[in-house]
Amino acid sequence: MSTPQQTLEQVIEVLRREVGTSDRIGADTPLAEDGLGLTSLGLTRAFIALEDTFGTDLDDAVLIAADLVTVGDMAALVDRSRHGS
Amino acid sequence: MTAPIEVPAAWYNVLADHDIELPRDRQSTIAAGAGPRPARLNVPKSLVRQSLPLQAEVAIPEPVRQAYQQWRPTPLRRAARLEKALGTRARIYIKDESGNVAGSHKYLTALAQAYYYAEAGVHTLITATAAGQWGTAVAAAARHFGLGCRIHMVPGSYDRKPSRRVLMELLGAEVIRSRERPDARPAALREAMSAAITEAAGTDGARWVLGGSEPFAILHSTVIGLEAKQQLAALGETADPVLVGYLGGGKNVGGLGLPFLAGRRGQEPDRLPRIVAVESAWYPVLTSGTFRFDDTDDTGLSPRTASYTLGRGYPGAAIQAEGMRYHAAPPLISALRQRGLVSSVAHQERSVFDSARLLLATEGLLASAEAAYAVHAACQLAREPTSEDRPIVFCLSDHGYHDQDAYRAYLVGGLVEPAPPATEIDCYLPATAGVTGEGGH
Repeated sequence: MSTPQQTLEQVIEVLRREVGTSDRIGADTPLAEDGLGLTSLGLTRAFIALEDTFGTDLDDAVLIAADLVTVGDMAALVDRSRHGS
Repeated sequence: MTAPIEVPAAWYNVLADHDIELPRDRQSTIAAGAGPRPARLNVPKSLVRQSLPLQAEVAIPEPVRQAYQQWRPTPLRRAARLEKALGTRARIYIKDESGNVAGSHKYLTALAQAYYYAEAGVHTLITATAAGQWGTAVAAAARHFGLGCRIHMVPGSYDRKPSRRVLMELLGAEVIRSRERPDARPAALREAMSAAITEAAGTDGARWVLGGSEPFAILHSTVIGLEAKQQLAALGETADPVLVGYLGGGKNVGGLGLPFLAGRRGQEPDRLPRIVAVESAWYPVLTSGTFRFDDTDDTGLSPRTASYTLGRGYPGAAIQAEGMRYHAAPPLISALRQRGLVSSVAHQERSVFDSARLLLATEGLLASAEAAYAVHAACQLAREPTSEDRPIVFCLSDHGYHDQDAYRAYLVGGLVEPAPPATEIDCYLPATAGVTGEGGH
């Protein structure tokens, strides 16, 4: 089972492909228009890509309820979902 | 006579079957207001998956299929009296989608979307509606799955179609008259959408339901064409049909036509069933638009999508078919149009209503102001020299019993002036933001 840091790295990789950027992405990088500029659909597509990456199913109800500001928030959510907390 | 068939167990995904990936949407160029916002999912992931080219067949969840079985399969009816009145030897079929609580094909995706939103823990659906078919469909679907519902309705329809409001309210929805345009032009769907999006963004537990133009909404509607394929086969029709639907969000024309493309990837467009999207001459988005990224509303909260568009600032006209008063085509239909898999034709309002009147007189069916465009196009196609070669199937996507105001306007000379020729309709889009690598014009 991967560590939170490994999850963060995977999330960054997926976001880099989704956004199409070679700029620095860190845990503190905002997801929305003041950072990566992800649209709602772009965020959802990233979660779908993460499901495929980790071979896991992320609960729609958990994703819908989440307000995510940074890449770190997203990685933490994925990590919690994978570890069942 | 209706051939006996079953309600399909799976929807058809043309993106997967024909290996089409839609251009990624881009961030809006419109300033959304003060300060950065948290990123938030508006659409359940399960729905977004259906907009990707992953599986050609997507299983219909059993609660949704059971809901479909309340009124499906819908009839495919030979329009023999209409044919006789037209003096044609063409074979015209009507796929009648008006026989449900919403009176509209839109109930198919409204039910599916409500199911997925309920599964995702959303408790209130917020949406926008023009003529009211979509609002009614969402109200009914929300009620079916135990959700709350708020509907922002275009002012013209709110005032002229009180029966629609009553129906939505009977189904438990709250109906809000959306704002007028500050420039006194008739407010269109875009303004109502902006209001709905803004409200949903600020309401816990609520989500804005996108409506009809998303690929998953068209996918949900493919039940129409999947049934029609079986019905035509059962009636002994073997030639590829001509499939006709009006262009609003793309659900009825895509729902009817796309299943006929199944398993035919790689064939030249002229060897495929002909799918005809019918437009208003005042809103010829496919016929005269340019393929570009464009904003879908005025809030800045929605992304820009790649589609055929007349430009966000296009003024249009107050045609009776409120559901067709939009400046851009759906992204999926736009992509198919660009690949030659969907064609388009635009018609003037008066001649459309003339054909709808003929349908009522011959077949006893009253089409909505929008579906009337499909009726007219089918009549025109039946007059073509080669019309006997292939059956013509049009989608009676919605009934017109809430459109008495529109038909009254037709009878008393209250329709808008004829639209100018398509070549004279200016694009209100700046000459930038073309879809790179997509061959847009």
